[in-house]
Amino acid sequence: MTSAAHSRPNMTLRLVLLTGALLAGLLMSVCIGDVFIAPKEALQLIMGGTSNLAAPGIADILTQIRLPRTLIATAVGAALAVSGYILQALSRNPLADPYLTGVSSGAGLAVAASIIIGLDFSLMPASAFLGGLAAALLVAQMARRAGGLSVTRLILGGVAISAVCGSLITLIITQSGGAPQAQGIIFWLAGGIAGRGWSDLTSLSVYTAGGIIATLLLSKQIRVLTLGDETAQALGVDVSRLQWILLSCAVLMCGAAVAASGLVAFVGLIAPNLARMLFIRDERMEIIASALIGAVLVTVSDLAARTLGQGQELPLGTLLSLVGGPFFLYLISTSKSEEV
Amino acid sequence: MADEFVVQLEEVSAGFNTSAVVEGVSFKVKRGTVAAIAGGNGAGKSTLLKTIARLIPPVKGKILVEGNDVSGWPLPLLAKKIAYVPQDISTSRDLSVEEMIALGRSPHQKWWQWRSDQKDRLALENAINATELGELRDKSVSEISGGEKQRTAIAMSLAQEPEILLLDEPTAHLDFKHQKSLLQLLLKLKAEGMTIITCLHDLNFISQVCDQVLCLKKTNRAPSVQLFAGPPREVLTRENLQSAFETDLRIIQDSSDNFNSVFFGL
Repeated sequence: MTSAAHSRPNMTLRLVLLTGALLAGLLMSVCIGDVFIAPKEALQLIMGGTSNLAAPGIADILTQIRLPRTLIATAVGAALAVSGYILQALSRNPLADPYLTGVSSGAGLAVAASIIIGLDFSLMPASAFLGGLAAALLVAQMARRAGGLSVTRLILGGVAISAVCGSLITLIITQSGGAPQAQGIIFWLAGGIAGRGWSDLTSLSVYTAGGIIATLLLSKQIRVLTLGDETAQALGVDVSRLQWILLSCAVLMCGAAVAASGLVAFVGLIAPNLARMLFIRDERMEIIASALIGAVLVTVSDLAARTLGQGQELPLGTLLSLVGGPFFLYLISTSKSEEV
Repeated sequence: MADEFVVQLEEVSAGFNTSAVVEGVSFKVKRGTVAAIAGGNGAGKSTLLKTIARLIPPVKGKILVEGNDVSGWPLPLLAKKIAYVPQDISTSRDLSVEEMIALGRSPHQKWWQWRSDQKDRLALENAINATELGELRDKSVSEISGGEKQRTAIAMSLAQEPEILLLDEPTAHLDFKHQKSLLQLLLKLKAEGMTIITCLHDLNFISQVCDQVLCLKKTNRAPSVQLFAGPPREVLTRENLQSAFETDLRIIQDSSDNFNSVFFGL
């Protein structure tokens, strides 16, 4: 019996605990706010019943504002986390993430441009996908070397792409002549889910669920890929096709998340690394755990963003960077890799 | 019989994109024999081996496997026929020796499939036994020595249950004990009908285990060429080796063991 098989019950328990944490986070997020809703009432309302305890208007706050917002936060977290998981698998380095590799910024630029030209919101994920893909390809091209991707080049390339995209977004805003859309871009850029509703959730959840399922199906191939391109090919894996599919999944999920929530950094870095610490040796468990951890992280951060500020919402992206930055430094200081 | 030759190289040039590192190689390997690719550093031995493994397409010429042009074959089908063991193998993941060897079953499984069936488990056990890795099976690949990693890589290729085994410098990380057990393993596999092609520096290892040897030679400012090919006892001569390695080597023919030993002849 392998050591992995030995610890399986233990891994299942950890997954159950993570799921519990997510459910608790979801409940807290729908109950806590300017108006407090008792958990029992909230559950009754969510289950489709009408609560005779609820004051008028409470049901609307819950079902039209808090519930969609909470679910969007959950999906954004899961999408960014699994996107980060894929980018780390592709680059064979735990320090890759959608934000650091420039994918988020590329998607961001595309969304900013879409807002200015007045594109319908339902098309934002597609536009973000194209922008993210363009950035990913540029960075991958810069980082390519024999036997895989250079992580130093990947992250330096990502920083450069992010800087260029950031400048272009600033240019778009300053040259828009005070158009009302510019205000929208600034608001959205800081990373936040305020004001999003059910319609935004639909496309986001389709992309996220599709991406996670595809990643789970490809998890065996992801493991073969850790042996290096050449060995993977000798084992019958069409490496370049697999890399393309995985990159598309990562960019699609990241693009959908960016379209819904702006630039939210570090979730894609933190969640897969925590998942790996918890679920050593099983890719499927890691992918599910990454999604759960990312979902908890963004759900709780979004709750903090709208409740901790004095009368004004804190930007979600800023909050997460406060946690993510130090975590990134921790990973660098404990990294065994010689390159970073 | 047409398929008596399992691997046939016809005027093959090997290299990257359109620039050849080796050119004009013609060589045939019979079923159940061991062939070596020898030559000095940078002569293109590994490049040629990778080309036979279809990891890189040939720049020119044809490579036939059992008389078939395999260039259009789906990769998993090819991987069931040919296994390739690189000189160095590593994984960016914390896998156990057993988990790594089990990846050799990939071409036999569906691409999404994790569960292993009875055939997979049998092949895995056979591979572990053949390479004497039973005691290390639960150890992490990151904790084992270079030689143990080499054996793990060979075990992974055996789990593939191929008909043709390609090895790139398999003795590189092995001490004498494990070189000897590799030699015994190769002879055992050969006796079971496996066709083996290996890049090797060690001329004595070649003369003890290989049925034929192909020697490449680097030329000035041009791709390497095939210098000679044939049974080691016939082609590992002082003149040939001097030409291949540009240094004087001494040969001792041992009549009882029926192989040539090569010395530096200082």
